[in-house]
Amino acid sequence: MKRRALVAMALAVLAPGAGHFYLGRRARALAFFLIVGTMFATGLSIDGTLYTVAGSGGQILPRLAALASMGSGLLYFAGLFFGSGGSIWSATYEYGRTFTLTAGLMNLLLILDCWDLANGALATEPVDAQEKESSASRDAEIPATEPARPFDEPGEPPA
Amino acid sequence: MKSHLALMFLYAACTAAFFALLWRDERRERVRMFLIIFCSLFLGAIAIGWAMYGWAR
Repeated sequence: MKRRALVAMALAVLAPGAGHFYLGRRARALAFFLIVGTMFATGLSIDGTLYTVAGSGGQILPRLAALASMGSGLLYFAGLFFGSGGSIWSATYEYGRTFTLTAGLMNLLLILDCWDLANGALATEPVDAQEKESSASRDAEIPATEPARPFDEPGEPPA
Repeated sequence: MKSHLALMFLYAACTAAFFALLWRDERRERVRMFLIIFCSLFLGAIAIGWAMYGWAR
């Protein structure tokens, strides 16, 4: 297990996109942070609440939803700490819960993506660049069959 | 923001952007993936809702 992968995954748990930032994908990390943060903040702002294990009532699906929501990392615990303040009577209550749940699931995917990136399981360059590089290395491996001759070297005059 | 349509639009846009960035590396492929997921979520939900409205009457 690579230490780099573990650090990236730990950072991704703390904040969405932090793992990608650590791995050098800074633009993508910023985009992920904005997307997951927008989903989470929107969910709480429209009277949604966070799934909790304590509030699951011993049922399996709410427990799984709580685990998925915890995927948001620090955002989740900050939301719990400051109070999500949702109201079940609001028309957008379920929308809000869906937004926060999806934000958690997205961050779980980002954590797994950090693992793949750090271990080299995913392509790190666009396909075109890889193809150019592989064709260039293939050309370099072909041995020259004849020694190079000067272009304007005069040949032997006919006898 | 209480509009269900606006929330559905935001949800579809965020989800489509997320998976386009996660799964594709090239810009053209990302745009294509974004449009596919966005249209599937947003327009698909409207189409299914329209069909369900017809059945409910």
